[in-house]
Formats: sequence, C-alpha cells, structure tokens
Amino acid sequence: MRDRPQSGHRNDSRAAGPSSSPHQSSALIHFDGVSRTYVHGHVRALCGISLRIEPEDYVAITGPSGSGKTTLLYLAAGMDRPDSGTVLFEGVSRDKPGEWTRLRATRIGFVFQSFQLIASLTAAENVELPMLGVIAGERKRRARAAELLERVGLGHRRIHRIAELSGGEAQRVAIARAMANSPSVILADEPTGNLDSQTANQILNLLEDLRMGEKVALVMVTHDAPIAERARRIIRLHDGQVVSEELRKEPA
Amino acid sequence: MNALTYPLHSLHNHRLRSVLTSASIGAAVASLLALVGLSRGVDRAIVVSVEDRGTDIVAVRKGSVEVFTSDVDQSLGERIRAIPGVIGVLSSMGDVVELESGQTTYIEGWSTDGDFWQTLKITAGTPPDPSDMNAVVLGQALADSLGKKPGDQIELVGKSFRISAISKQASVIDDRSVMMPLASMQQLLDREGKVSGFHIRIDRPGDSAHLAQVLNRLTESFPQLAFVESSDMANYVQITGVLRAMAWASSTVALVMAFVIVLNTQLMAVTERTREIGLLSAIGWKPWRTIVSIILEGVLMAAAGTVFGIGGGLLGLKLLMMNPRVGGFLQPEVTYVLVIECVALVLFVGALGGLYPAWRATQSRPMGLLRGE
Repeated sequence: MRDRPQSGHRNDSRAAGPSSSPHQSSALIHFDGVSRTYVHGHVRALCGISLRIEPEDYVAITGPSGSGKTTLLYLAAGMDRPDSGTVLFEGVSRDKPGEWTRLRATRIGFVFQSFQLIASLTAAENVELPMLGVIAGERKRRARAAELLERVGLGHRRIHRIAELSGGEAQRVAIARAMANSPSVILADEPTGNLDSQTANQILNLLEDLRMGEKVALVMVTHDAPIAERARRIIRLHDGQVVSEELRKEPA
Repeated sequence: MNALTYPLHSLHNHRLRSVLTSASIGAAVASLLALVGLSRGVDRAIVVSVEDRGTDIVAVRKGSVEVFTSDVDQSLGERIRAIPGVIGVLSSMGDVVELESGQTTYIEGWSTDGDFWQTLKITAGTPPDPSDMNAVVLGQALADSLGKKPGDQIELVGKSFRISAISKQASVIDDRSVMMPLASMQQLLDREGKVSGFHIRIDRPGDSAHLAQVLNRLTESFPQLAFVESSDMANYVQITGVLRAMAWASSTVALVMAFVIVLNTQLMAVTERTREIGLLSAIGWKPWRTIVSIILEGVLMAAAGTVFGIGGGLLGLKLLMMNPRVGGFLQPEVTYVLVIECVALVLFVGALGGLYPAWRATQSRPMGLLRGE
C-alpha cells in the first residue's frame, strides 16, 4: 500500500519556522535558524535554515548539487553539528554528549546512496549490527533481522554476503538495517541514486510501504523531480537556503 | 551476531595481516614462557637442592660473587656448630666441569661427618666408603644421559673415578651432578682445607623468631661470612639473579615489540576502515562500543598469538633441553601459573595496542568519517 500525493501544490519560500507553525510542539525534527559552513567558513553549506519534520511526514528535499541537501540530512541525524542555530528532536535540543548517538540507535534510521553495508558480513549480520546494545539476546536479534529481511523481500538471501547481492538487494538490506530498531524517522540520502529506474521504483515503493506500515516519517534527499513528487512535501534548497516548500495532498 | 562477530570478521578480512601479527605476538609469548620458565626452573632447583638436605641456613664467604667461587676455611664449620641453636653443619664444595662427552655438569663434594650420604636415594650400587678417594655417586638424570651404571668409570678434571652408586635426587641440579666425599673433591681441585660453604641446621626451623635470633648470632660471630636462609638461596645466587634479569629484559623487549606491532596493525586497520567506523556511529554505535570492538580485535590476535606462543615456547624448550650443554644444567619450570601470567600479560598488551587506534577512530564526527576524512 502506497500513498501517492495527487494534486495541487503551493510555493512557500518562507520555510516553516518554529514560530509560524501551528503544530510546533509536535515536530519530530525542527531546524531553527541552522547554518553550516566548511573549509573554515569559506564554503557555505546551509544558511539560517528553519524547517520542521512532523511525525509520519513524507518529505523530499531537492535542489541542485551543492545546495546543502546532504548536509541538512546529516544535521537532522546529528551526524554533524551546526555552526549556529539549533536542531531539535521532539522539541528538545540534544546537546548532551551521546544523545544523538542514542537517537540514531533507537529513533533515526539512515539510508545511504552507496548503501554503506559491511561487505564481510552477511545480509542478516548487517541488519543486526544496529541492534547490538539495543535489543538484548542474540536469538531475538537474529529473529528481528530475519523478519525485516523477509519484509523487504530478501528472506532467502539472509546468509548471503553483500558482494553476492545486486544493487537493489543491497539497498533493501540497508533499508532493513535502518528499520532495525523501529525508528520514528528514516532519513534517506539519494536512496535510488545508484540504481536503475525499475529497481529505484521498487525501492521507493518499499520505503513508502514501510512508512505507512510502521508509521515512520520519511525524509528523502533527491535531485530527481519525479521521485520528489511522490512525497507529501517537497522542500527545495538552493545555495544553502530553502527557496520553496510545496505541500502536496494525500491520496484519496 | 554477538559482540565478537564484527571483530572476527574484520580480522578475517585481513587474514594474512592478522596471522602475521598473531605470529609476532606468539614469538613474544614463546620467548617470555621459555626464558622465564628457565629462570624459574633454576631458582626452584637451587631451593629444592638446599631444602632436600634439610638445610635451614647456608653460609658462604661474604662478598663472594657466586656460591661456586666462595672459598671458606673448612675449620669454621666446627665453630659454627658451637653456636646455640645450631644442631648440624655440613661442609660442601661445588664446581662446574666439562665431561668427556662435552656435557657440562656440576660436581659436589660433601663432608662425610654429616648425614648427607645417608639421605641419598640410591637406586643402584652402594654409597662410597668415606675413605675411598676414587668413588663417586652420579645423579640419576646424569647417569641416564651418559648411559653409566655402578662400576663404570667417569673422568673428571683429568682423573678417572669409579661410579659406586646412582642416586635419584629431588633437585634437577643434584640429579644431574656428580657427588663425591669432600676430601676427594678438595684433592681433585687442589683446595685442601677449603670449602665453598656450610649447610646449617637449627633446632627450631619453623620458629621464625628463633631463626632470626640464630641468624643474628651467626652474623655477629662470623663477620667474614654471609648467612642466607635456604628459601632465599635463589635470590642470593648471583647467576639466578642474572638469569632472571635477562629473562625479563628479553621478554620485555619482546612484549614491547608485540605492543608496537598490534598498535601498528590496528592503526592501519582503523585508517582503512574510517568510513566503516563512521557507519557504526551513523547507525548508533556508541563510541565505547566501537572502542571495545577494535580493542577486541587486538585481544583476539593476542589470544591467537598466545596459543602459537605457548606451543612454540614449549617446543623450543624441549629442543633446548636436547642440547647436552644446556639440558645437563637447566630444567625449565613451566607451571600453570606461568602460563596464566603469560596469557594475561599478552592479552593486556593486545588490548593496550588497540586502545589508541580505537580512541582515535572515535574522535571525529560520523559525517567526517563517512567522507573518509
């Protein structure tokens, strides 16, 4: 079952800020005036971004290369820190050491363009990796990994090493891994970037199914317009700033 | 999957490097086990040799570098016997000689007025008559290695002696030595009237206060002599101190090398796996979990090295003991305690070698690591 946004959109160059939102308290991830530069401030990746990701949201972040899409996604996962501004998770600024790590272990699933699987491990072991320290008991972890791989259609491939899988299968394993600890949000960085169009479509269908089935938010970076249009919201970035936000309707 | 799966896979990924690192750790373990085992074997043999005769205190010339080279007037024995608390004094002389076979052996001369000759555990033949200046007793191990039996001849320092008996001795030193009456040995070495030292028995050896009292009386009465408790002989005998120091010095060098090798291997592994470590952080692995995992790799290599090393060390010792120049003298003492000490030390070195690379690997943010920075 997939939701397909069907109609109408609005352009809103004012990205939804915390003060402007009627659902401020319900935001899952909230960027409040976030800036990030690299190379000692010479390269500006994000400039005063404010936006919100709601629970069970489906957001596509799009824009040209170098517009700050990936930086935004990494900041949303706490894998990088802003130079200024705040990234809040469930309304709380997570500044204490280890807080973002704990969130990535339990609340945030991440899917990479290049899969980032550990080649020497089997598909099941890759899926089990985030469960270490979260789910107690080897048997429980193995059962959960088997269940997730079954869910992404790879039940028969669980003892195969990554090198023995196709690109589409590898990305399915990566998605299963992202779902390992039942996160609240999946952050996907160009999840179909390395796949042919048919496989890409299957992966998107899978992500959307999981989003609906598990009631997780899905935030996906893409530069591919047709893929972005499958989302409920499209946030467009340019030169590190939100230039528009398009709200699309849920399917009937 | 459990906590060991990931480190095992990482090591398996670089099989040759892991095996070579383990082999170098194994070399360190082998040298540690062999050298310390040998030095402890010598220590033990000396203590057993002294205690086997019921000796409580050994007297040698003060300042003598070595017990063998100690040279004391035999007449002092009578005066020592007169000290209150002393119930027996046995004069002895020792030296090391080379046999015709090329084997090096210890020769001992014992006074015939004490009960030394009665305490021998004769397995063949009869003890020599005190007046027989040509009879000797061979330790069982020496007799076995030379293929000698009572009635055979043995040449010592150019003089031929008749083997009157074979005796099974508790100490490896005594079991591989030639024992003869003191007078016979003094004549052989042209040291008439001289002895290497005295083996003293006291009336209440279990009473430590009394032992200290007797030691005080002896020290005051004979300032020219050093008195050593039998249990402390291994520390007094200089050669054992040298052996011990050499064993630990060589082992320390080997352990330091093992540490550097593990450090180098793990630094390379961590550098190669920057993105992988970033991924672990990205999926929520706490830094300590990553650190433990990398340290475990070092410990696993050290554990494998320990297995190679213990096997190699025991084999090396066996080969060493087959050399008559060494085996005639040394008997390693490889106990479970020593093996556990070696294992603990080497596992610690393995963990230590992985600590810095592991810490370094977790100092960057996941985004930087994932970009290979």
